[in-house]
Amino acid sequence: MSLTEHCNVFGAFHEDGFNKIVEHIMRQRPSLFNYASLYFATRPDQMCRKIVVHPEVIRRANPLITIEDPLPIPGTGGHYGVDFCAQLAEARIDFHPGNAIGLPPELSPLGPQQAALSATFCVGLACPDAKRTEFLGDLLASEKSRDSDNKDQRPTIQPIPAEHINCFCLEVYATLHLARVVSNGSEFLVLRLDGFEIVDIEPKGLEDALECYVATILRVGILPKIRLAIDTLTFEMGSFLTLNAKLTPISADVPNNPAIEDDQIKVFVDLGI
Amino acid sequence: MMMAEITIAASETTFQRLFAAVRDNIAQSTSGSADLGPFSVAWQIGFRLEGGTVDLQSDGTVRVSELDVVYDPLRLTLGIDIPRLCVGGFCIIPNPFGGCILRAPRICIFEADPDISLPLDISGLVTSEISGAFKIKTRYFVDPGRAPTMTDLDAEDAGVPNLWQFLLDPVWLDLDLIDISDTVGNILDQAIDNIVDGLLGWLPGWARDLIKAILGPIADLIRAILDIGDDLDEWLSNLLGVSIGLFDFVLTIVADYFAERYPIFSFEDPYPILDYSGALIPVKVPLRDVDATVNDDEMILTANVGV
Repeated sequence: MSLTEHCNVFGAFHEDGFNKIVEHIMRQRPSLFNYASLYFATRPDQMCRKIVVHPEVIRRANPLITIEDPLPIPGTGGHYGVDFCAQLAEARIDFHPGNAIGLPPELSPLGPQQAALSATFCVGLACPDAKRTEFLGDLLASEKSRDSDNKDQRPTIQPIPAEHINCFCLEVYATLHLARVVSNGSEFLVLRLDGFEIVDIEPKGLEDALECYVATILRVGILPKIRLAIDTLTFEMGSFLTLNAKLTPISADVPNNPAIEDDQIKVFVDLGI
Repeated sequence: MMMAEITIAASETTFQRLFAAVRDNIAQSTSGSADLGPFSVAWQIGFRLEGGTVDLQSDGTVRVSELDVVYDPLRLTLGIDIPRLCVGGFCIIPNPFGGCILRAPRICIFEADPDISLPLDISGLVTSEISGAFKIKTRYFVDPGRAPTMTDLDAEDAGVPNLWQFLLDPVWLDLDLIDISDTVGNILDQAIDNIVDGLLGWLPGWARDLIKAILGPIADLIRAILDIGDDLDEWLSNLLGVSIGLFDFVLTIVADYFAERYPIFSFEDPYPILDYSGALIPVKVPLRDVDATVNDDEMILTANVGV
């Protein structure tokens, strides 16, 4: 059977290619995946995971890290915080059938038309010395109405100097599928989260609560924004040719489009010329 | 065989529709002139494409059949330099002692060069046919303007990135002149008649009759000077093909189009998937093992992502 038996143009992208592209993005845009306060930004060697970058990033003096404020310490009026770093250290995708990622039992096996994601998140905290923090606490308590002035202005968060750095990494897994939805008369391709799992957090209730919270963030705040309008995509070919590409309608011959199968994502397209 | 990481296939039907769209938008023209001894020719010539079919073959070739090349515009101006002819000047009353007492007036014609300009507009009346078979060749092109010290990003910034190119490599290519409409002969004859009438119209009636009597049918004379002979098709084909080189012009354009310097499609390597974002460099992905194959049903492009 030919690849284009039921469409004009067929495209297939294997998970191995996807994973290599993810690696290229992580190496060439490291600041999208590494966030830290100034302490870590000026000492990237102290991040939890070494940041591996493309030589051009160094040559063009691109940032390795997106700089964030220190984590604020409640009770200090927003004046003091703790240095931190957060990294998406690894990310992989696995298209059905599942074979590239070892899914935890809660999400296994990967179902038809599903994709699995695995990611390693690492967080580091620059932990201050206990005596120094006690001193600071006493000092703050003795100061009266420190926040009474300039209440409308957000204070600059001063990091408390660190004594040592605590790092931990979490393995997270998600299963997703693609869906075509109609919104305001236009059709979009969206990602739907089927399952989410954080490995090895105790107690179980904490793990469940965190998973619920992150899954809700993904379902409500992030995935709906990652959508592709698929009514018609227009391509210019030369100065005289316009190609209007549209996903081939679902039918018995094309039951899923895009389809996630054979370790690939497959797209069937009809072309208007 | 390892599965390619990226596979894109286009059906034969898609190919045929693209072919039709491209064919209907290809038109070229040129102009020039040539001095061919007793006559000269100036031309304004262009062509467009009509008809034809494209088929993907099981032997891995793309076959184009019976693609008509319609020459439009096709305007020729034939300049004819007729040998100078003089009549009269003969002696009416000879002098018995030598010389001539009374001579007839001497009239010379065809003294200009050219004497006759014969405009011939045969746009759309001459067609050729192109057929050929092509293999799709993949080539990795390193721009000669790229300095060895340049990184891929430097090369992109300088507009000299490496390219993956797809070329139509002709297996065979044929161009035949297949038809010169009969109308062309009529147009030529009519043009010659008009020229003759115009040419002799200024003469007094007696002189016109005299010249016609001397020269016979002038149309025949012009045909003789142009060396048209009995076969107008052959003459025009020879004029267009050999003297003007029209078919060379078309073949050159077609061959150039398919030759190595005119890829039908190309893309950068590494391929940019994210543009510059402020000072942040673009994200570029190297593509390897790029290949194109053709079978009876479709053309398939495959590639892998480099590390």
